[in-house]
Amino acid sequence: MGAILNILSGHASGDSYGVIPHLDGAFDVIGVKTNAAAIYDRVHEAGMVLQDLIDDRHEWYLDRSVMDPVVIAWQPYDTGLLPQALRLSPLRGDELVVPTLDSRQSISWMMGHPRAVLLWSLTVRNLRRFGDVWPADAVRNLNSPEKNITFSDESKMVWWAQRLNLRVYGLP
Amino acid sequence: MRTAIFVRGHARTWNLTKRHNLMFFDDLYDDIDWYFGVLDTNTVDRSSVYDDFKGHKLASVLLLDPEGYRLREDLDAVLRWSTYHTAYWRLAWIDYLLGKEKRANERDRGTAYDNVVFIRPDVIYYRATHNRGSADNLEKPLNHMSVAEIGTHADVIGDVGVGDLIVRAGATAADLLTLRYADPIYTDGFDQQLVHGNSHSLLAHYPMRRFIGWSKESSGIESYLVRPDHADLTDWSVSSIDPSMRDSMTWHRLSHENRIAVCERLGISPEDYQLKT
Repeated sequence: MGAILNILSGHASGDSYGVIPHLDGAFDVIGVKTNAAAIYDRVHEAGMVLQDLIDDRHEWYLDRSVMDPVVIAWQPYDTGLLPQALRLSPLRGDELVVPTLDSRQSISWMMGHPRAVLLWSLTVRNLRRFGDVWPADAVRNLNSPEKNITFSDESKMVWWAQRLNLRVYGLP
Repeated sequence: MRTAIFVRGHARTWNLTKRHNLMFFDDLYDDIDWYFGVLDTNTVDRSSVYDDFKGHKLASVLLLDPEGYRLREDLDAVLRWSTYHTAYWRLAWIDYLLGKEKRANERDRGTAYDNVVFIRPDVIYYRATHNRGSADNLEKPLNHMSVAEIGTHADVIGDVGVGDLIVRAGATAADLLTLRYADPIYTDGFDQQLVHGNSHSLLAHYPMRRFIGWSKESSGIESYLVRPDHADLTDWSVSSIDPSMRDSMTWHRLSHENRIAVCERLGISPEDYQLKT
């Protein structure tokens, strides 16, 4: 059974994980309580929980290519497209799925093969380095179309996955 | 600069190298947290490791049951590229576990290391005598997505290969290296994606696949394997070694019985060199 790591801001939701609809009990839903402010730090903490989870379950076989996908979801939970994404399973070891690749849109979940999700989530916090500057100043000052691209914080995380040479698919 | 040093692998000649290496890295970096992870044999035990690191910050000690490494080990199959190369994958497993310890410490303290050095217990390290880069660069943090001391060098069959005695990494590159045991390249059930080549080429391929940069100008540490047959050579200083130490092959030419005898004389578990007694 795959898992959904549900990032709970603060801790208030207690053991109530009913915020992830559309899944019909097909996944374990695991709360990740965190007070971290930045989405990157919250996803990183979810990655640490995911690592413990698959280690503890002894599901960690490097020589096992097909594994149930995992999802990291955060508030606000816009998970209506998740069932569509799940139909893409089984995924390859380097594949991730997000609701959209449109960098202007916010997203609230990332689904993928556990190996790909682990690599992404445990390294994404470096995006703090960019601060509010995105793209870099050098690009902003050029007379180039890139300077007009807008990015949501979440889409920066998609860029990071692509930067790692992972395959990221957006739903149509 | 916050530095973490991972000493990991088989303990082997750690009891010969430890004094030198602790002194060398203390001289190079301030504020080092040491992470020690080896297979659990008779060469060291928890108490001896804590003694070794007295006066240093020992952040984590893992003495690992070899059974915890789950991939098949078969030297003949490794040489035919038909199973997992133990020299690469078992070290990847130890780094994976030490990486968890590192991230937990970073979370508890709220700061990440920006300089992570992966070294072996059976190697001694010196400042390079030839000028590969600036001595100052050696003491500065790398770009967070860069590594130093390993690069990409074509080998005799046109593959790439790197040395596996030391890697220095920036913050994110270090996390990626600790996650190579979870390499996402493995898909579709084709073992070849993971068993290609040897420990040197596998280690070269990984940073290339993750687009990790190589900082040649920040590379400047020389490394020498210390085999058990080096034990009686001249005493070492931080600045020089006995030239005979550069010979790491005589050890392999000793008979099986002789190698076991040398190990036992030095208190090294023969298991550290895959010698069955």
